[in-house]
Amino acid sequence: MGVKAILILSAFMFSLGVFGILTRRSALGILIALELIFNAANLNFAAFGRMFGKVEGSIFPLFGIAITVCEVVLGFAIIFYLYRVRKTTKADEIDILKG
Amino acid sequence: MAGIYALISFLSPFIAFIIIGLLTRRWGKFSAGISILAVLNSLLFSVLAFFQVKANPGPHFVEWLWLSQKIFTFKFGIWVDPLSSAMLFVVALVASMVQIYSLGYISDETPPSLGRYYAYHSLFTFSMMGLVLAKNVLELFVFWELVGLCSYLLIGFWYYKPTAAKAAVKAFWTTKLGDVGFMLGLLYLYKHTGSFELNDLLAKAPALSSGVLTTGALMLFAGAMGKSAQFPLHIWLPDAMEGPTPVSALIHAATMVAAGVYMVARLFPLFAASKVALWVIAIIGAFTAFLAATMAIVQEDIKRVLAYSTISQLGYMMAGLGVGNMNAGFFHLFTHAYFKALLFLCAGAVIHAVHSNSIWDMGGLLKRMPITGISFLIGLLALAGFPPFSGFFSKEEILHAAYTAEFKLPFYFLVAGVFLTAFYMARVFFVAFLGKERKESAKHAHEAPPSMTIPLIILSVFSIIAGFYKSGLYKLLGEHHEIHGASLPFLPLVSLGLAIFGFILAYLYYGSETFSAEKTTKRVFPVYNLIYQKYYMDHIAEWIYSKIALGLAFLASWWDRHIVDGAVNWVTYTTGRIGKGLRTIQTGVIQDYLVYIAIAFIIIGFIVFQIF
Repeated sequence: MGVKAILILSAFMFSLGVFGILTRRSALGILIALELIFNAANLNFAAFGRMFGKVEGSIFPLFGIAITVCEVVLGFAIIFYLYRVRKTTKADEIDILKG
Repeated sequence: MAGIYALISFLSPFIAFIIIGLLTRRWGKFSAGISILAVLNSLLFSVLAFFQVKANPGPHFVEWLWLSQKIFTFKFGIWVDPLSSAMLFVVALVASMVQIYSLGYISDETPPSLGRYYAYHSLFTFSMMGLVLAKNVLELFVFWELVGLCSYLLIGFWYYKPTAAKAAVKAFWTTKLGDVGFMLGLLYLYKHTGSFELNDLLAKAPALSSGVLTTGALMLFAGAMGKSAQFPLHIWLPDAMEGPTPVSALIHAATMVAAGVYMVARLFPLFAASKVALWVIAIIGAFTAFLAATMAIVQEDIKRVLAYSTISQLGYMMAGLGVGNMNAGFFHLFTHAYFKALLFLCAGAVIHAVHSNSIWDMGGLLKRMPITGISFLIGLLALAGFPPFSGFFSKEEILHAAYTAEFKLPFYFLVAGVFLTAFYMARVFFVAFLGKERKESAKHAHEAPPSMTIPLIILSVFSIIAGFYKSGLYKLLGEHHEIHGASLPFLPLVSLGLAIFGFILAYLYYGSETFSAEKTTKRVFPVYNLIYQKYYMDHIAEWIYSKIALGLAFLASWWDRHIVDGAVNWVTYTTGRIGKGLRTIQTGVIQDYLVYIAIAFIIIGFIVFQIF
């Protein structure tokens, strides 16, 4: 299995993530789709690390995962708070920026 | 030395104006004192300057830098020669007499308004002296406008009276109409001679082509027509009588209205170089002299009779200048200033006593107010041209000059004017001062206080003796406009005969009442009505104003509202529309924004990959 296949997978995951963000109505769904994008990026790191034989490519995803965890915590907090204030977690109903 | 004396004379009313205007306006009597002191000081120094000029005709001048630019330099200066020093004396004398007289005349004003009155008076005296002493025409123009402003302020002194406020505005705008011509004339001549200096301008003027000269001179004359109330811009002067009577005496009889005549005399070599310009001046002057005299006959308001008489006499002066005799025109200005100021002050004293302007409310005042009555009679005889009063000599000079001129038309107007002048003045005298009291108020009239009668006496003396100064004044002004032709002994007799005829006719109508004025009026009613309506000049002026001027204003306002404003409004409206359209993409839904980002990212990506 070459790097090429991994990159195709990662591109697929990224596109899936973007699709999810743009189409999911639920804020939780968006958060999950965001995770897909992150993981696509991490996968790229790992793939290129392996291709060039460098260990940094494998270490960096660890940092990426740690950041993702923080981000998920923050994201959940926002969603909880949003639910308390607006009684909804539907992203398309939150339109107070409407011009 | 004459220059310094004239400068002191010129600046002292200005200092009085500054002091009154800034500090002492609230204390009316005190302000009056300052103003009178300043103007008496002016009078003293103007006499000194006059004697200096007599010893050495100069010209003397004092000047300093006014504006300094790369392309031109203007100097501000005063120019003292026989003409300006004589005029300076006239202005200072009449102004001081009028200011002293005003103390009695408007004593019942509140102190602040008395202060305001004297502040305006000082400003006027200063401006008029500046006009007289101007060294260049630009300076002349500045002071020319300043006296116009003072005239406006003083006509509208009782600004709470609607007629006075209207008259002030009318006077201002009518004279401004002429001033536009004056300003254009100055610029036009500057373009062709490259100088505003009086002596430069006069030296270079005869060398100009006749077309340029005539155009420039006529434009300048337009200013003189406005200021000196010549037909058809005379309509403002009768209305200007709404102001206090001393103001009428100073500004609208003796000094400011003579400024137009003075200006023509000042720039006389320029006018004299153009035959057409002189011809126009002579015709307009003579016609005005006649027309205004006819209108004076039917007036009931004593001040209006005098106002029309002033217009008529200014016409005489203009005609004198126009037939090419500057000395005669200026000499008449010189004598007229005294006797017309005197007549106005007498009228003021009478109005003060009777509390009415109409001559039909007076009667029998000669025995109740002997000093005023006799002074009025002296002024009347001077105005009507009876020897040995001053008006006789100056009017004779003008008639003589007109008779010996190439074209005779102005002469006939002027001779007819002599008869009319005697008639309308005698009418006022017989109705107001002789006979029996026509109204109750005339029975309670009594002589004015000394502050009013003393100026009357002084001006009476000048009205009598000024005529004998003819040869002295002519010698001083120079002999460069010698009358040509033989002396005409019959001419004084003809004009004197006409004046006496007018006097007797007025006696028969209004003194002995042998003829009935009412019956004559009825018989010639169409003519009477035409004159009574002032030849419909006011109606015509009003029509021009309301139809043409306001019509143009309406057009301009339409253009401004619809075209200029329309363009601005269209821009704002279109911007608003675009904004409204663009607003719809701001949905507030985060995912929509992300879609835009994604699309933009894809497009940019395409572009980037196309390039590499």
